[in-house]
Amino acid sequence: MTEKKLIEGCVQNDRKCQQTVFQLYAGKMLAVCMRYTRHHMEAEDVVQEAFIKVFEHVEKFKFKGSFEGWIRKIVINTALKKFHKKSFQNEEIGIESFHDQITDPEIYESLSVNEIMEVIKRLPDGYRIVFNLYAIEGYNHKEIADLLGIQESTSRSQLVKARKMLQGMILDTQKIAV
Amino acid sequence: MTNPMDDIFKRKLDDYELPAPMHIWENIEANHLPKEKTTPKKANRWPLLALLFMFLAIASQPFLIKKKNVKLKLDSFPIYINTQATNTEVQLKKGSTPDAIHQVPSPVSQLPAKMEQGNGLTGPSITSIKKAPIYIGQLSPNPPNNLAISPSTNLERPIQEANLKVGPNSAPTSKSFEWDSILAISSYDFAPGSTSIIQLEPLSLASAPIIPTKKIRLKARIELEIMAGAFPVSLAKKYTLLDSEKLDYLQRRQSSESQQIGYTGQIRSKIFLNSTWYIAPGLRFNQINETFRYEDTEEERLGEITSVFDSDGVLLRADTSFIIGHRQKVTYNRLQNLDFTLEVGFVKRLNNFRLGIQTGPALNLGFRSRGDLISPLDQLPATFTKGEVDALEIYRSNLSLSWLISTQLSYALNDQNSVFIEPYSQIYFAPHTMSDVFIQQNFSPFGIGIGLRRRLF
Repeated sequence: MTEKKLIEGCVQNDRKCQQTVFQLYAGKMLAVCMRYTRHHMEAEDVVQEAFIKVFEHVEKFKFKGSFEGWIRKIVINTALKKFHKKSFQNEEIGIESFHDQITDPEIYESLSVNEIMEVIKRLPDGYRIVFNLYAIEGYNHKEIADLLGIQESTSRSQLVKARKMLQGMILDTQKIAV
Repeated sequence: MTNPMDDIFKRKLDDYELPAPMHIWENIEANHLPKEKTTPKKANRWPLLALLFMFLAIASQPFLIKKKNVKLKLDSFPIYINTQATNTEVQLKKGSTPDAIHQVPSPVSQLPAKMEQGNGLTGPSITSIKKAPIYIGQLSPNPPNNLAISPSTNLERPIQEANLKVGPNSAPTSKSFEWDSILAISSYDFAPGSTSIIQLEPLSLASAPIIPTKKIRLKARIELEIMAGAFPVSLAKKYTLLDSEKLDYLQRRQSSESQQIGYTGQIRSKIFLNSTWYIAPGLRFNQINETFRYEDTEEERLGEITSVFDSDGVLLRADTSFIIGHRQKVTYNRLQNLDFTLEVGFVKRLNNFRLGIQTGPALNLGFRSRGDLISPLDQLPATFTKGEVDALEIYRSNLSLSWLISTQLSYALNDQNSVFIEPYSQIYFAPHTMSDVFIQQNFSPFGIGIGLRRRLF
């Protein structure tokens, strides 16, 4: 069945098509949610809520861009609703935690997906969300600022701090490994 | 300048997925999704019942013919005797009663419709077919001596077969009579100057009722009509918007669909219960005609998606291209339905004109839709023709019940044939669209028809 038929089936509330869409995309979206939420259960809640919205509003999909990208946006927006604005403003991180920037990209290449997920998860909420939106989803700072209701400068500073924290965690991991 | 950590993280995480959490799907399905649209195929018995009723209505018409009861009147049973000579005497044997025999002048073709008693001759009367022979008269001894015995043209049940005896010594000869026939008797053996006797003993009467001066007419009057009509679809069509947020879409639909002239064809029989009231079962066909027009001078379509991989086969990016062009589409949409109708009406006659009014229900036997419209999904042309690939389910397959009302003015061309003009209206109670379509459409024709009527009985 083509993607178009699947979508049209979902518009008609065809159960089989809806289940197929869920099977195709839920695993990936759960992985996305794991980067935004604090734990697995919360990620599953976001996935459930997001897919309910997907099936409710599927007729609004205009076949411009990919269906996966459209679902991903709904999932991210749903995940972001869990966080309050204060998450991005009130977090305090001690400067002494920052480490030197890693210059060798091989260190990043050597990390497995699970290790990357683990270090991202350990970021504070604000840093994690901005990093995910900027580095992984590809939003720019203006878009992030609009999404989160923050200043562009806040988005930039959160990203810098996120990167530095990630580098520190990775280096710590490498030291332990060594 | 991109950050290497960002790039590497993005690349590794983009396709990362976990096993699909199907328990979440079960929860969504059980508690959060609207009921699945099902169109159970019900055996639609109504069209079959409607056809059966119509068949019975037509097949039972011969039984409506009321046969006039022909009472056998044996006690008025004249027998005409035609003689070629005017001076023939016909004498009766003593004891017979007069009034059954009449003399008529030749030729036989001048046989009068009725002979009154006392017209010169007397004769016996037949009181019973089973009784003793009847003496009719005698032959003249002089030639010509042809004696014709006609069973009478005025009888309801004439003699079909009789024993005929001529002369005292002859044996009876069985003779058969046809209706209105003349039995000629000639050259029988008798002595000149003697008195001969002609005996006619009826054996059977004709079985067919024959009343030459009266016509058998049926109590019931049955007519057959054929009508063709037309109506403006723009007056028949009605939109109802169920979702107020879709007003833009409704306006787009209205601007893309232009209504043409619709057609109606009907055949019906009228069975009169008395001189003014009747019932009229029939079949009616409607066709709605619309033209769908779509034009987009800058329609954008997805061209192709090109994936770029690095030397290790890892997806780096996907490039999407679009095509922009002019698109135009014209489709002639058709909605066709067949109904079984059952109307009641009454008529008023004035000379050759007849004014009637009739009304009644119509039961839909089938509805077919084909054509295109603007899709609510992507605002592009999409087909709603049932059975086609990717067809949108817009229209129902059965329109169930509607109501007809019409008046008819007819002019009789002759006893059997008439022409008529008939303004009509048909109101559909349910929309033509499926219940979950947020723009409901109803077509209730109002038009004028012309037709022919023929009296069958």
